[in-house]
Amino acid sequence: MKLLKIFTPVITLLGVVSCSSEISVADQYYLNKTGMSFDVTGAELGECGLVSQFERGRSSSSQAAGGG
Amino acid sequence: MKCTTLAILGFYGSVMILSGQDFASSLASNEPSKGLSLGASSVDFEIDGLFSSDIKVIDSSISFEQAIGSLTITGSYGITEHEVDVIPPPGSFILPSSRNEDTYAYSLGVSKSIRSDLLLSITGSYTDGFSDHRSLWISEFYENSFGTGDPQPESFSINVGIDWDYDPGRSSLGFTFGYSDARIVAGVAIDPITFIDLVVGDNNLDTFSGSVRWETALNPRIKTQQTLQVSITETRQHRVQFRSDWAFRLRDDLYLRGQIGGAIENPVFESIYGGLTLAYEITPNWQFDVGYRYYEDTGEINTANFNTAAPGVVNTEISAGLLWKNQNTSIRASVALYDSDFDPVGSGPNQVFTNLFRDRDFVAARFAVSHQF
Repeated sequence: MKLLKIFTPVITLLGVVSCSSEISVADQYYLNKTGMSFDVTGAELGECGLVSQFERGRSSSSQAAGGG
Repeated sequence: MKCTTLAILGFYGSVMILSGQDFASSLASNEPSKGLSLGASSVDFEIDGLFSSDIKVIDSSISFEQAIGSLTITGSYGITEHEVDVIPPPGSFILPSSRNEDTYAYSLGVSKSIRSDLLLSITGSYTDGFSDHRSLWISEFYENSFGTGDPQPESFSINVGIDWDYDPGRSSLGFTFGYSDARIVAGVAIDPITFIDLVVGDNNLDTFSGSVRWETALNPRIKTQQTLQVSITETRQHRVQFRSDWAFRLRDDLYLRGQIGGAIENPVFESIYGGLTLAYEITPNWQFDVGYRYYEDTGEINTANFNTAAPGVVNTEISAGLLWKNQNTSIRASVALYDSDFDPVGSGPNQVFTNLFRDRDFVAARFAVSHQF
């Protein structure tokens, strides 16, 4: 319930901001750039994965149970 | 590393032999042949480091992606070097010690376009060794305290994914389902009844997980991605995670990325995190970025035994990175200052891990190269 309270504003913002604007071919060029992409890998990925050892609440779906 | 390079070259050579093509001519041309047609390919090399006064972790990996006909094959091989200095709590009869261990990680995956807008993928991974420095620290402490022997942690996981571009170029949905089987460092404690015998916790845990991801361009300058994930680990209740990512094109050469997320797991675990990154294109080939992240949780769910749960933590990170890229190659270097502050471990059995769960300052560094053929 607490999680839902925190992220309700995010969901609301999505609904407010989701105006149906046209996406042109020129816009596609910028939308596919590194700064606008969420699925980059390799050298274009900016995050250091090792800090996940300290952040168990931010694990990915493929991470094993771990523990110790 | 040499063996991996040879393996990748061997893979290319084998495919050429099977397809009846000359190796050199196939690299020069992408024309389809009577056999398998080799499409685009890429190779990534990455090295990450995390350093403090008593913990050092260095992770090196190489990965590849190769299109063959309608399939795309992916694979990776990585080595993580863990070094920890194990310092027992004050007044302990156990002497300090140091330990180094390497962890090896392998993955292999395949994906196929079922339709022009539908992609199916499956990936298997295997890890041989300790999953993180904390497991290594606890294992060394148990060995020094109880003579528990040398554990052999390992894990296997498999993930299936479906990606649907229901509005090509603008919006997509993704679903993943995963299963992992992990053999961990079991928790150890003194039997509260006999005060002589040792009680060893479960060292084999299964985890099932599923996630849904929605990505869309709201307008020409704003993209967003929402991810909801549910995972269930043996002996624990289900964990729900939510993450919201945003990307803003402030100018044609200036981008702002933000993220906010959190997780909950009964009975007591909650986490929340967020971050901002500002990226500036100095030239079409050079990009500089700075970022800040914050993470906080209420303390870890105890998986194996009552004295292995980490207390609550607050982490902050400030980072800077430089990216160079042209049509086929990208090279990135970045450095970060990472501060980790734990809550006190309290006066219970967890006191033995006082020096494991103490405040630390880390330096994190990353270097990566990606090349497309």
